[in-house]
Amino acid sequence: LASGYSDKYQLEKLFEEYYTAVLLYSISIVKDKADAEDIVQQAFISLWRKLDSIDVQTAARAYLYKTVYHASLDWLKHKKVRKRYEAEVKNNIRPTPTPNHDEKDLSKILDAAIGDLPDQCRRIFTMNRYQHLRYKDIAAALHLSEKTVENQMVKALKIIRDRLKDYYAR
Amino acid sequence: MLGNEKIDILIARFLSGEALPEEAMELEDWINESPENRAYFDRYSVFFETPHDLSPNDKQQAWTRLTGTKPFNWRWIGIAASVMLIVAVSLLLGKYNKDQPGNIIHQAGTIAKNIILKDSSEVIVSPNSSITIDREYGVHNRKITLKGSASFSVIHNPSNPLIVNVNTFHIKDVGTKFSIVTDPVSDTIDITVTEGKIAAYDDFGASEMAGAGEKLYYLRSGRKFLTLPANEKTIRSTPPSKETPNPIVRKEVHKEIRKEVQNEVLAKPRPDSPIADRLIPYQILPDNIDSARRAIAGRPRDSTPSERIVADLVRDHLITRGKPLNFKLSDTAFILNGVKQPETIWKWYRDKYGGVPVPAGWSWGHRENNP
Repeated sequence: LASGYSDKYQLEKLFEEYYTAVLLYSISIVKDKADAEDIVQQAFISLWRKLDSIDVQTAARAYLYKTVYHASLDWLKHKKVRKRYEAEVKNNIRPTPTPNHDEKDLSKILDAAIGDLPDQCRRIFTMNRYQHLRYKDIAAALHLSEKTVENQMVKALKIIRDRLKDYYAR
Repeated sequence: MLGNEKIDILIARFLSGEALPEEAMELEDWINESPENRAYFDRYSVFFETPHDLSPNDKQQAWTRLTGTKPFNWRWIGIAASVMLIVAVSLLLGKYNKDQPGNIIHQAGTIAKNIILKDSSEVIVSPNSSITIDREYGVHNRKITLKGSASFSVIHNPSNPLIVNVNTFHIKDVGTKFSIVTDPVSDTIDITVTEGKIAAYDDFGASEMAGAGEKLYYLRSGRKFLTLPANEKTIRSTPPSKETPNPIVRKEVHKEIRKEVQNEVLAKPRPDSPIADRLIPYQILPDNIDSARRAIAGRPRDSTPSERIVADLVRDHLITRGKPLNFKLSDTAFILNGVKQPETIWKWYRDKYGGVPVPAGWSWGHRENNP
């Protein structure tokens, strides 16, 4: 129950410094803000209990990132998200966005850019972006290496970014 | 500086949920290097569901959920121009930590000694006093052990606060300037804050904060705090100066402070106590001070949290010693002898004794026939 003031003081500083960053990190993995908030909260509670044994000046940040990383992956595993995603891949439930050239709307520009991607590049980007599949799952589904998947993702992002240059320049 | 190719890969890995902790930290460092880097990242992040940033409300709500309390706003504290603490300590001498090899000791003789630390903080060590600078000062910590009196002008660093240790009592800098005066004939530590905030705590679980215009007393024998409005006279009279202080004047000041503390501790609840306005202060004769102080403020030095709560309940006149007592303090209510206490009282005790929040909630129960 009791926790010394010094611990709470340390915790607050760490929370102020790292909360946003580790929450965004968790969201990037679980793709759900509310779930990510729960994961990050548990990570801070865990950190709070270990403040005595952790060098807060040097190790707290790494501890938070690692805790959030593993908890986020566990979340994916326990929610059986992977199975659901695999089923989605198999059934190809979600259609590829249809290009739309109304460039007054960012989402439409984005859809258009995705639609214009090379086939494999678009497929990989869509599986990650919309079906939330991880690289290794995409690689397994498409019989590719993870490195190829990564390269295609980088390529997709560069192409889309270039397509959006005019939008940001306005 | 990371190349664009590597950054593009890192961003792709982060946004697609593939980044390892080390990669995420590397990317975060790069984003924070410049507004241009952040803008570059933001233009990628619009492709995904990852938000660019969070609103302050999100963060505050998360902190409230985590601790059940509102966070302090450290930013304004960091900006605060100065904090002045006046600390009087006695009977704390003689049990200092042993000096570790590599620690640096600065001892003042009959005149004050001015010391500039690695981080450009300044310490004026009063005559016949000394400070010990931790060997890892400025690297892994900013710890200073004080014997006697000193005045500090601190270059504030929220990520590495300066901590002054006086035996088992500690003062954490959350401002930029403060002074500490120790006196071997006093049982009290007194801290007067003129600007900003300070945090004080001991090794036995007692802790307190004081803001501008407040005076915080720590009674070593009772291990308890008392907060009072600052007395302008003592604020101005006790900070050590570069000149050698007149020992007679200082002794008189401390005598006055000690008398004030003893009377206040015995007669009044804390001014922020929920029942502060319901009590009438009374004067205690000097001859009875020691015995009365032990009777009211005194409790075993190794007292438990329950005993500390009981002591506060007695002090706040919410219970009388010798009568059966039971209470349950939780994150939702404070039930004392079967009666739900007003919200202000519950909040005061919750804030002081509340612990780590857990999803299922927490509670602290206690029952005894002869408290």
